[in-house]
Order: sequence, then structure tokens, then C-alpha cells
Amino acid sequence: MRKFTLTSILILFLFFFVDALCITEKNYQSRRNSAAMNNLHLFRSLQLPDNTLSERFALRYFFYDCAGIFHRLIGRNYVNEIYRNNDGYLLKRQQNIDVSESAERLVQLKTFCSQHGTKLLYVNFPYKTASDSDLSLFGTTCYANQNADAFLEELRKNDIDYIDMREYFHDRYANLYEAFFKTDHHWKISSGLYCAQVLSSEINERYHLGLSPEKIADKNMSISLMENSWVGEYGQKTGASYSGMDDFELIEPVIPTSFHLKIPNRKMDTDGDFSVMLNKKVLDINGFWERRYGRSLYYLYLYGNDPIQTIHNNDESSGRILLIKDSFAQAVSPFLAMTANTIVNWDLRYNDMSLYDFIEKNDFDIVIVMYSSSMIGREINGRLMFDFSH
Amino acid sequence: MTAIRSISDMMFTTSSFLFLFFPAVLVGYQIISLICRKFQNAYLLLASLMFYCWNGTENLPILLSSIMLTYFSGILIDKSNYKAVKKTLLAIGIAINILLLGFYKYSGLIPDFISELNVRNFNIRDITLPAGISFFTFQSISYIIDVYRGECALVNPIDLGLFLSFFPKLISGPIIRCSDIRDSLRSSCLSFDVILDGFERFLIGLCKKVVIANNLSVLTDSVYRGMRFKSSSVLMLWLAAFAFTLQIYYDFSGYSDMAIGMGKMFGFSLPENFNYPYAAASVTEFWRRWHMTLSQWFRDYVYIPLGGSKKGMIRHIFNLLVVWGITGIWHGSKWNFLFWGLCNFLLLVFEKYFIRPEKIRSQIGKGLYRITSMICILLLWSIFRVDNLSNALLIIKAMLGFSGNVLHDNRTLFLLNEYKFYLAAGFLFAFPFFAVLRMQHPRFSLALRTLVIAGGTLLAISYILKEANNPFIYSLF
Repeated sequence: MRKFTLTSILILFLFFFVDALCITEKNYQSRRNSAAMNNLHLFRSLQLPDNTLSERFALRYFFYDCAGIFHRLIGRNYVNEIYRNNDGYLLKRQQNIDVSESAERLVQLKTFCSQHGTKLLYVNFPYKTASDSDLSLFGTTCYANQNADAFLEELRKNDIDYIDMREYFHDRYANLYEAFFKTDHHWKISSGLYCAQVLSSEINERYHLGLSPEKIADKNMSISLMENSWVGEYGQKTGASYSGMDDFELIEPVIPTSFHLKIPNRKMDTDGDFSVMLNKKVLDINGFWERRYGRSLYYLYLYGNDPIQTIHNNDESSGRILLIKDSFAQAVSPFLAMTANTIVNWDLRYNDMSLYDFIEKNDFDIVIVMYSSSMIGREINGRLMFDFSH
Repeated sequence: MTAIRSISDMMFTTSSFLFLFFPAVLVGYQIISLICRKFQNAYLLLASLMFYCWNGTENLPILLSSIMLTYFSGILIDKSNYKAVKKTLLAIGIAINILLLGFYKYSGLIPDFISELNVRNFNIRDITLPAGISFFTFQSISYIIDVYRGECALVNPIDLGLFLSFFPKLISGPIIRCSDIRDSLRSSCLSFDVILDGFERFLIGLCKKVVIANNLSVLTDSVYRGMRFKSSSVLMLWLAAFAFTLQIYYDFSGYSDMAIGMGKMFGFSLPENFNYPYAAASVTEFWRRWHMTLSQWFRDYVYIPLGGSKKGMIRHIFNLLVVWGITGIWHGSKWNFLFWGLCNFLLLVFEKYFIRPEKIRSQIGKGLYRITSMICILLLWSIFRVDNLSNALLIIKAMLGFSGNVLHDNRTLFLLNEYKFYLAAGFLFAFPFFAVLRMQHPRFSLALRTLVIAGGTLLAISYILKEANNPFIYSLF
């Protein structure tokens, strides 16, 4: 038994060795930035960054799930910096941060917008934890809400318009977790729709832009529920066998729509109805492991985080909106686009163009900065999420 | 400010080592063995140098220089007929090695006003500590001394190069002597059973490091990183100290197991480095079981030449002080390491001349003394773990309840529950559990051990594929 077991493990190592040698550009689909590889080249493959190599091994999903099963067996609730609460929701702690620089940058943006006759609105999305004490079970504190409160206080002092979506969500959901996926940090598509409904009504009430919020009323939407259909980012980090799988609601309008969608990054410049904004190819990824680790249904809406996406609604004549957004807006802007003439999604993390130049050259009615609380004070790709002046 | 250390990015528990480099070298070695055995050592030397400069060649000249220095020193000493010349060459060889080590490792101790000097745009603060320098310089010194003593001489520079740079033990030991591998260098004969034995040992080390040590490091970091210990409860501090006591053992002994296992797979019998140190009955016995190759090195090349215990109590204590002072600073260039070394010195002197644990007759007394020794070891590991001496003293004060920290909190209870498996497994396997079980139920013990190794390996591969970065603690030295 000993000899057989050891020989089997040795063969497994040799299998991985052969597998590593066979990593080529053709089957290389890393999500991270890494050195380019030219087909099969032993020495170049030896120089692959270690995490990149780990991401390309065959059987890796099986091993991810092995770790997940083990962690469930030994009763772990904290894996890879992700907490698992009693209801199975995966949570990440946010640290206490200094909001002053972020607030100052937003004030500068407001000044710039005012000079160009454009309104500015900040929209604060709720974070997954309803209160700082949500993580008290784990002996720690999540500061997402404190950070948001402090930030909004700064906006109040500087007379910047904002909408705190947390208030609306607390009214709608008895348990805020219901608005979010269990295995992902994002909110559900239904939450994004609700946010768009609130936002379009508020914009009309405050700024009289003539949007059509009635178009995205619940009665105009169809919902297809796909049970246990995907695993979110947190779940993939901890292992799908640890986190379980999430349901997904595919929400589409039942009323006629007509859009022009332009995403230069993806070489997309196309016309169609609402479905043109849906990456339904994701639904074709249906293998057992691929459903768990190889796709994100959240990005079925608007494909992913691109530097710039322009959605032109052929049926609306009012409302030119610039959304400076994070990934939470993926679930918002397709529905918001049904109520306005033009929505431009601008993602600071991936966009090197000058935002100020862009605002100056385009005649927007309103600039909306819409971020989750976790973005306040945060740097991504070496850039502060509120660094609008680049 | 200490010198910046350099880690070879290809540690043993990385994907690129486990599934690319190591299998490639092993398969290549087997092929070379079949085609032309005389190139085996050259092949391994090349592989070892490639391992060393995996992430850059800037430190390769230092290793090559050390090899050349050691080789020529050995040749000259061996060939010389005059004792005075031999002695001079010996002194020069040792001095150069010590200077090399001192320059790269201890330049951070130079007072700020000197280190701020920029000499031709070279700033002392920018010195990179070559990986494994503490180990290969010690091996170089031991080789030169052994040649001087007439105990060993390697005339082939490739053999000598391989002796110093053999990749399984290059970064973190075991510290080997020329006599340990001299016969294997001449001819190594491998059967599949020997390869499997080595592989089993390698897997045990892998499991120790990845499954236990890496997970416990998360627990210890929650206290020891930065100044977090200031807000930690007393129970948390003790829990973290206990976790680190296990972590450092599994990290270092895991590495040693992997090195020994790999050595065996290439036909080299590397010496044991650990012998269940936490099963020791006293601090003295602990140091006979912990990092044994380093202890033996200090015994043979420092302690005994100084006179050992043969020259009276005062001289004996002085010799121990020298050895433990050097041991402390060998581990690190910060004052807390020296303090740690000196604390061990005090405990050893205390046991030798006051307590004499070997004379305790009652079982209860022995048991109590054993527990007290381990508590002392645990406290000293806390000093070892922090990043400076003042924090070391603060943490000890807090552990003893004199800093006003709360006794326990939710966080402590949560982490204790969270890591209970790793703490329990770490505690259990720190003792010769399988050896005891084998005596009573040999077949069951073998089956259980195989199952544990297989399950542990599965888990270790899972962890490695999920998380790429997990450096060894002793590679920092």
C-alpha cells in the first residue's frame, strides 16, 4: 500500500510536469498581466510567474475543491481573508481609512463640472455588511459603513449632492444580505435594477432631466432564475465546495428596446435591443468545473470592466449621463440606459484618458460618480479611485 | 535598517519548483546516470547554480567566489607541508568567509551616520543579502578546517562546488560536512526503493510546511505583524506564541525533510537536523534535538577549539557565552536575536550548574520541569519572532499580564476555534506519535501514516495551487 501510494503520487507530480511543459499561448487564458509566451518553449515556460503557472494546471479545479471540502470539514470560517457567516455569506473586512483626500478630489471634480455647466452627483452603494458589527462574530470590525458615513459627511460639508443607497436598501430589504450574492462581493442584478429605479426617479426629481423611470418598473421586466448556476469571486478564492453555488436571476425587459452599444476595448460597435448588452456566451460555458471556476455570470451584463462603454438609447431623447463607476454599476447602467438617451460608463481603473478633457468635449447633463463603500480611499492599479484629474 | 534580503523566488513549495524544476532535474539525472555517470555531479552542480539564480544572477558571483575561495584554500592547505603556512591559509580562508558573511548580513548594524554615506553611489542600505549565505559560508569554513585537520579533501572543483551549492540544502541547510557526502560524490547508486524513500520524506516535509506551518503563520501574523500585539489579549499573545512555536518547527523541519528527501532521491545521504525537539525534557536536551547540524557545527568548530567544558567552570561559561552570542547573531542582524541567544545561554548555564534536570528523580518533578522548559522555549520564540528588541520586551511584558491587555476577547476565541485543527495536528505530530504507534500496531501505523501522507500531499498541492507565495522562515538567514 505504501509503495503503491507513493508511486501514484510520484506519477501525479510527473503528470503535472508534463502538463506544465505543455502550457502554450493557445490554451493560456490568464486573467492577470503576465509575460507573453510563444508556443511551447521549455525555458520560457520555466520563467512563468508562479501564480500564473498554478492557474494553468489541469486538475487545478479539483484541488481547489479538495481544499474547500477540507475547510468545511474542519469548520473553518476564515479562508484567504474571507469570512463565512452563519448564513453562508462570504464577507471581506474593510479597514478604517482616511476619507479626506477622496473627498477633496471629488470637490475638485465638482468645481470643474460647475465651470462647464454640468451637474455632479455622488451615489454611495451599500457594502455587503449592514453594520460594522457584522463581523463581531469573528472578533473584528468592518469599517465600510463608518468610512462611507465619514465620506458622506465630507460631501455634506462641501455641498456636494449625493444619494446614499443604503437608506433605500434598508427600507426594501429586511436583511441586507438578500441584496447580495452569497459567494461574490457584488449585489444581485435585481439590486442593480432597484438602484436604477431609485436613481432615475431621483435624478428627475432633483435635476428635471426628463428620464423615463417608468420604463424600468418591475412589471416591465421578466426574471429567469438559474439555480446553483455560478460561483462568485469570493467563492472561487475559497473553493466552490466551501462556498457553495449561487443562484442567478437573468432580468430582461419585456418592452421593446433599441440601443447602440460601443465598447472600443472589445471592438464592439453594434445595434440591437437590450440583449446587445448581455454577454450570453457566458451561459454556454457549462462544463462541471467551468460553471464553478470558469465564468462569472455577474459580467453577463455589459461584458466586464472596460475603460469606456457608451450606450445610446434610440428611443429616448433626454438625459446624457457620464457614470464614473466601479463593477457594481454593471448591474445598474443597462437598466438606467433604458431611461436616458446616453450613458457613458467610465472606469478609472482601466482608463488612461483625461476625464476632464472628456467632460469638456462632451456635453453631459450630469456626471455621476457611483461607487461601493469599499472604493472610498482605495487604490487600484496604483491609482486612487478618486483621482479624477489624471 | 538592515540589509535587504534576497530570496530565491523558487522555494521548494512553489509550483515552478515542484512541478517544473525538480522533476526536470530528477528525470535528467536519471538519464545522465544511464548514459554517462561521470557527468552526474556536473549536472547537479549546473542545476544547483540554475536554482540559485532563478530570479536573477546578481548573487551568483558571490556563490561562485565562495566556491573558488574554498577550493583554492583547500588545495593550498592540503598541498602545503609547513604547519605555519597551513595555519595562515586557514586563518585567511576563515577570515574571508566571515568578512563575506559580515558584510552582507550585518551591515545593518552599522550606525546610521556611517550607513548614510554614499560611496560612489553605493548605499549600504541597498545591500542585498544573498540567499543561503549563512549556510554556505559555514560549510566553506567547515571544509577548510576539515582539510587543515586532514579529515577531508575534494580535489575535483565540481565536487567541491556541488558540496557547497547542492540545491536541496543550499538555502536553509542542513549544514553538511565534506565527510557527509564524500562517498556519494564518488558514486551514487539509486534504486527505485531509495527514490521512493526519499520521495516519502520529501512529501512529509511538504505537508509540514504547507499544511501546518503556512496556516499557523496567518495566526501568528495577526499578533506579531507590526504593533498588533499591543491590542491583543493576553490569551491571544500566548496562543500566537504557541502557534509560532509550532510554525517555526514545522517550517524549518519541513524544509529539512524536503532537503533530506531530495538528497536521497539523488543518492546523497544528508544528516538529520531535527529529532522531535519539543519532546525534550530540558532546554539542554532541546538544543541537542533542534537544528542539530548547526549545533554540531558550533560544537566542533567553536566550542571544542575554545576548550569546551574541559577547562573549568569559568572558562566553560565563557565558551558557552561565545557560542550562544554567535548563534544569536547568526540567526539575524537585529539585537533581539542576540538577546535571544544570550537568554538561551543563561538557561543552559542555569541547567548545567544550578538545576541539573538530569538529577530530578520524581516523575512529577520531571514532568513539571519539562513543561517549564517548553514554556521558556515558547517565550524565547516570541523574542525571536518580533522585529526588534524593544518590541520583544514589550511582548513578554504583555504576555505576563503587566501591560494592561485584556485577558481574552472574541477574536482570540474565534482564531482558536478557526485554527484548532492545525494547532492540534501540529502538537500531536511534534512528538514521535507514529514511532510509538508502530511499536504497538506496526501494520496499522504504516497504513495510517501512508494515509496521512497521501491526504496531506493532496491538501498541500491544493494550497500551493491556490496561493503562490509562502517563503520559508529560515531562508531569511
